[in-house]
Amino acid sequence: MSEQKKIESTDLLPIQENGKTYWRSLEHIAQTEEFQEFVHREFPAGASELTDPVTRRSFLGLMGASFALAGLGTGCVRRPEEKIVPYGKRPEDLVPGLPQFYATTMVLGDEVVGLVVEAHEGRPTKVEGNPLHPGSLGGTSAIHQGAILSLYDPDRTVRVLHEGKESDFPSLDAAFNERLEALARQRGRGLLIVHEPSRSPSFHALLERVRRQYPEATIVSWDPVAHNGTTEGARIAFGKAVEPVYSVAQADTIVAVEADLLGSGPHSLRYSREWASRREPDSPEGMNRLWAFEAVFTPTGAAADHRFRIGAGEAGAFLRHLAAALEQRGLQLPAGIAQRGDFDAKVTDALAKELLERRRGRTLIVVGRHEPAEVQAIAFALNHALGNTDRTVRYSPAFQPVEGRPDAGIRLAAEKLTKGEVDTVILLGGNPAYDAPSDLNFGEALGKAKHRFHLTWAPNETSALCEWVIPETHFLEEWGDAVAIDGTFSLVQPLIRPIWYGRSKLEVLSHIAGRPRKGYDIVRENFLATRGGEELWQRVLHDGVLEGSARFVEVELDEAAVAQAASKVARPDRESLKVVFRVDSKVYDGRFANNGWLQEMPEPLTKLTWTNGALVSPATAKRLGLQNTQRVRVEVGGRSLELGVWIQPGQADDTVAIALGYGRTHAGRVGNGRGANAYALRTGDALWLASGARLTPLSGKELMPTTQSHGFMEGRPIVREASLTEYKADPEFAKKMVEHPPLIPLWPEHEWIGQQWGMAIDLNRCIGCNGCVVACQAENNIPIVGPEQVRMGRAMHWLRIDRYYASTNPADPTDLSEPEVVHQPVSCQQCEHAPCENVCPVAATVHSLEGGLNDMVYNRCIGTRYCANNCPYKVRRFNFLDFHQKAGLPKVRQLAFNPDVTVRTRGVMEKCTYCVQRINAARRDAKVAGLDRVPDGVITPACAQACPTEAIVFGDITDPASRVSKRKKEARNYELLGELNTQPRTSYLARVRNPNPELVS
Amino acid sequence: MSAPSIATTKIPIPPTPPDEKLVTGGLTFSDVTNLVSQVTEQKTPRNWYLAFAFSLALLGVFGVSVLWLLWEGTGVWGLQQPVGWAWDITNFVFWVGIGHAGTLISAILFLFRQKWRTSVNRAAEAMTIFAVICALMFPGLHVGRIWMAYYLFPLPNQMGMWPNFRSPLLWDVFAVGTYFTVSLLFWYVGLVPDLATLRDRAKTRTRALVYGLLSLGWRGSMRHWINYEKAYLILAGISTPLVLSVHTIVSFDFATSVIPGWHTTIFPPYFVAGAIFSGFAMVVSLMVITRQVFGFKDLVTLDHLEKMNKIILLTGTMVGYAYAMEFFIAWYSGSLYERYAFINRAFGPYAWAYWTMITCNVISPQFFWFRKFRRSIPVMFVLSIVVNIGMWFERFVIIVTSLHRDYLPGSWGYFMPTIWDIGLFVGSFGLFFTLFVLFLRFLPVIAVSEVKGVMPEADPHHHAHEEVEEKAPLRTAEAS
Repeated sequence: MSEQKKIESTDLLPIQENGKTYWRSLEHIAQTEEFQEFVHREFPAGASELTDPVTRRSFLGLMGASFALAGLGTGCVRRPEEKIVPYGKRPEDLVPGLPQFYATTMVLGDEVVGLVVEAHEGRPTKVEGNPLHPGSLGGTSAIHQGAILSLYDPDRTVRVLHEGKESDFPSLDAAFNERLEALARQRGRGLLIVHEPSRSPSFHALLERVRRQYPEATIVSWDPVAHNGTTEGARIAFGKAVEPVYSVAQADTIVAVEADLLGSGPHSLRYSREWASRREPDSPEGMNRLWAFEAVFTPTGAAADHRFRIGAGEAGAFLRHLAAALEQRGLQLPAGIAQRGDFDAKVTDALAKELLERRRGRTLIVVGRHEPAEVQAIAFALNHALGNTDRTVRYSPAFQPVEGRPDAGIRLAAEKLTKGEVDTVILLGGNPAYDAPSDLNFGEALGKAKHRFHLTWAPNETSALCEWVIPETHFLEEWGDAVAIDGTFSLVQPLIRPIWYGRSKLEVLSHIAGRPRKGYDIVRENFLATRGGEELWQRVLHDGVLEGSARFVEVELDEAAVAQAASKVARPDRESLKVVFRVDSKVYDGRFANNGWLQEMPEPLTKLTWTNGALVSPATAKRLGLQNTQRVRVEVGGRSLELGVWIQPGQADDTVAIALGYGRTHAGRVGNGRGANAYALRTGDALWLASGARLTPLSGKELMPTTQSHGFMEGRPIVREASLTEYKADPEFAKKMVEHPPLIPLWPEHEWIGQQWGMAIDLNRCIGCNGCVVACQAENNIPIVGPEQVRMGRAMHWLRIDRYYASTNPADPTDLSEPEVVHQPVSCQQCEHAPCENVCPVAATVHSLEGGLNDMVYNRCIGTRYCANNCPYKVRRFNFLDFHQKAGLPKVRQLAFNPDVTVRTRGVMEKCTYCVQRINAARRDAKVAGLDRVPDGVITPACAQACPTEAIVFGDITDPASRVSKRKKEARNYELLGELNTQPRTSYLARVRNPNPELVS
Repeated sequence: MSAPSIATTKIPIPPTPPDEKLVTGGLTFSDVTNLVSQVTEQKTPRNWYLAFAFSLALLGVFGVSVLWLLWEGTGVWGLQQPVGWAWDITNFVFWVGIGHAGTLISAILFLFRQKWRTSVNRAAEAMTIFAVICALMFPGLHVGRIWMAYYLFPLPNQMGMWPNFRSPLLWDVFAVGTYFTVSLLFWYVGLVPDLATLRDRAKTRTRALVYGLLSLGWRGSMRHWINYEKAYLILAGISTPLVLSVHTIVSFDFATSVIPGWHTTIFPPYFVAGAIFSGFAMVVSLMVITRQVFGFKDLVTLDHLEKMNKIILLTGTMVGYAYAMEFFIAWYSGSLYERYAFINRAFGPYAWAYWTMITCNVISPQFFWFRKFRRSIPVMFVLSIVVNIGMWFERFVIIVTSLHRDYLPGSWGYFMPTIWDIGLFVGSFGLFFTLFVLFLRFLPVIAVSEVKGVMPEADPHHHAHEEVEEKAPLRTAEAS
């Protein structure tokens, strides 16, 4: 038993005194004799030699199997041993086996989203949206869902590091205090604090104290993808820094100009929900109409009724052109805005006409937050002129806005560092050595400071250059507060004690301010001082959000200033090749590069995983003679980057779009070396768009794993779609798209016992955002497989989103310059006549007696894969290898598993279960409560719960009043491949586009 | 009776035409016995060691491929979603198909009194059994959790679970299992008299003991012969439907599915024809080598080979017809998916495999319309190998091209084999050849007793002479 005890001793929470890191102790154990013997006794002698590290898939190193245990991991096909540790004393309110839920908040740049987090025995396992929070309304994005994996990332900062060697908090504190005392004596001269912009009132209160304490210190903020264009634009248009907050549901016509209204940015979850609420073709209000004008495809463009390409950097010129069209039709606008440009007049005239025909205040013009201030100002003026102010656009005071150029702060910091004026630099989060504008050479400058402290939750390129690295708490481990763009106040509440004894930014800041405090005290005191009393605190703690804290202000348009700003709008550059930098929907600014769930999530449009690419339009690729995935060198402003090409239909010509956040070198084992680092091309003058680029084809191809290699429906009735006019003429159009003979079942029908579960997915609402995909992965313990395996076609997502392009050019169906895009989430359809059930020789996939589910019995499965072959929907996923690496998986990563769902071994088939664990929990609760039926709405599968647009509805199809029954009764309802007589329980509601009648050819 | 009297005996109906002399070279009974038996009795020839070493090396490849597969998981192959079966099941069907010729030659041709079968049936049956052993490896190895593979068998268990009797894969287990058992019995029963011959000729105690045990006390008494003939006939009767049923049921794996390109009613006859096609080709390949190496040219004559080539031509053309009919039905069905599946087969990413198959299976056998080619050893050797390449591709085309693009284009993929796919396939030839080379060395390669039975000497007709002479003009066998 001693050897087994040894393994157990790799305690999740290392004792700080023994001075060993988690990793070192595991290695240590792997090298002990007992352990070696244990390995060899459990697995045949010599067998471990077979596991040649060179030939093994590189994935095996990904999730923590890169030490001696790896051989054990790959060979372990036994059912794992499990140990149960009962509570000696049961904590109050805790029933072992039942999850608990706490409200908290996740802040990412400007986006503040309230969450409700599920915890099992004190460890958070699943994130859901907080319906009370205006930034969520219950929905979550993939990034929120991925937070769990980041929390348990074994590559996090687990120890205080001093000059790269492990140290401890007492040593750190001694050094830190010494520096602080010295700096305080000099009134802070020589102190540089670089922090990430924060939306926390407590943070700013503390920062104020620090400023008072160290008046001569330099305190700057830097976020590579934050953008103050809107507030700067508001300063021009309204003379004060305000944030526009949209009421998308009120708008009949929405015009998104270079704006990813639905897919990213603050309140995007809310906006998606509101947009989707107006996609019911039968609603008395009528459907809204979304127009998108953009250079690079976004989920918003894909969801739009009309999407047109405009050149990169032409948003301002386009708005002026639109203004001219509006003015021509009699709209009163400040003089000097309108100016015709070279845009399709037919489109803009139709749009202008529509904007003016709609009821006043029922339209909305949105420009992307990256656009320069003058473009924002024009949009404000247009919305104002269309009467949208206080109707579809309201203005909330900007929270701690940064004035001037977005890179001003980091530029100042770099200058001070370069001049040697900095004695001590304290970096509160962030990774400027990686993501600061490349012309600053921040990494080099950083080395000139004598003392460098970096508080960070994961070691990165910057911490590699720092003298002291301080473990930072993950947001699920810390106390905090946050203010959303509409002013809503919410609390950040820890779900777990800091796993690695980290400190939060607030705590470190209070330390700098001279009074080290606990995060809880800081937040609570600040709350009590500024917001209310103890009772309110308790309520906010429970709800996660302070209701009624949103604030809006009146604005007055300064017409002259807008007119003046309009004259500064850049002229379209249609000569040179341009590079567009994009915030990635997966790794964000690069901070989630070590998150396998997010890395493996297919990008909504390209469906690329694990890498970024140089996105070019088909025409540009043809002109430059580029093949997909071919290596190219992109040069701009004397800087160059080599990466793979990805041909993206619908992108503006002569534009290369590259996602930021890849090419990390110090992200960790999952994230290092994925894709190419676009920050290398990015300078402070051209943060989002660089002109005059050159693209040179190189030899060779890049590994660019995609989950979908074929993007056309081949004329098959898969995603069924009609225009609103066609729908009105024949609401049953979707059902009529397939003709088939009468369907006769081969086997007797299943008897319906109890409630029967079904799902309806409204394709009119789906924006392909991936929230459901990662929610499903988190809920159901779905492994990641790594880029090589994704390329081989082995991604494990139970729920995938198929993306199809269709040409809008009736003359040439292969012309994909302006394609339409449809998304279709597909998971197990839970067929009544399931082709998989018949063919399984061992009856491992069978119909459930109650509920009518297509059950998958992992213990019975021997892995013939016959079921997957015979599945017409191709939703079954096979564990070709031991993807979970259970034996080698770090213990801390194992904490992320949902204990309600089996972790599957190698050689087993798996698939969507409609979250049967949630169904059964609800049935149990209903039974305990004495109900004979689970009420509608009680069961929500993970996908439906995450979906920001409520596209997925689940429930009992035998209850005519249930939401799912109502949806299935709609005329648009159809069954995918229903002609095969599979009788799927999941059905789709056909997509109805609402194009402007004038533009329908 | 004396030998001259036999030589001059007037043979009754049916007269043997000169080109149907089943044993040439004027061999006597004892020549036949000696010729076949001495192969097992001589000092092992050096070439045999070479062949054995080569086979063992290939078997080693098989072993390594299996070990790595079991160690790492099915993921060492190139399988993926949507192609859940590729080389594994292709190889299974390929080997099962090859395994068809043996029983066909033994059983069906036996029942149809095709006497020419006697010189090739032993080797063909051995080939069947070894091929089925190879075939059985693949469904066994392809499962994800091989240590749970016993769930496939209807064994009583504590879970009270039966396998799913609706699954064609389970039918496969029974069909191939039955086929293997009956083929093995059939082969062994046929071997008994010859094993006894080897026992009787044994010069060492070991040989006497081993062959003595294997020959089950055979003494060649009339009662033994009567029982033997009955048993052989019954087993032939049992085997005959199996020849048709095995590949029919193997084809059900595909035909009962919903996948376009699989869901086809023509599959059972088409698969059986293809199996006979490939099986005969394999017999030709092996017999051409064997008769060359062991000097059996008078036992396995060109006439035998030509007959087999005719069957190759016949079944090859049937297979070609099936290919054409599949396309017709795909068009005629009006099914969008069905049509696409076949257009994709011929012109999609796997067109190269499809046209390889057509060239090998439909075009190459057409040479056998010409007698010259049918009787040319080099031509038939090359063509028989080409046919088996083609038949491997047929299964690959059916399995992979249907799976890689089925209903939802968003899930389409492209399968590429890994070195382990290839290793296991190539290695399975190692298993096959090792068994075959051992068979060549230690067992009578040609059914001695049966060959003797079809020699003119075996059919003296003492009592019929007068009648024949009275009623019909005298005809004499043209003694060579």
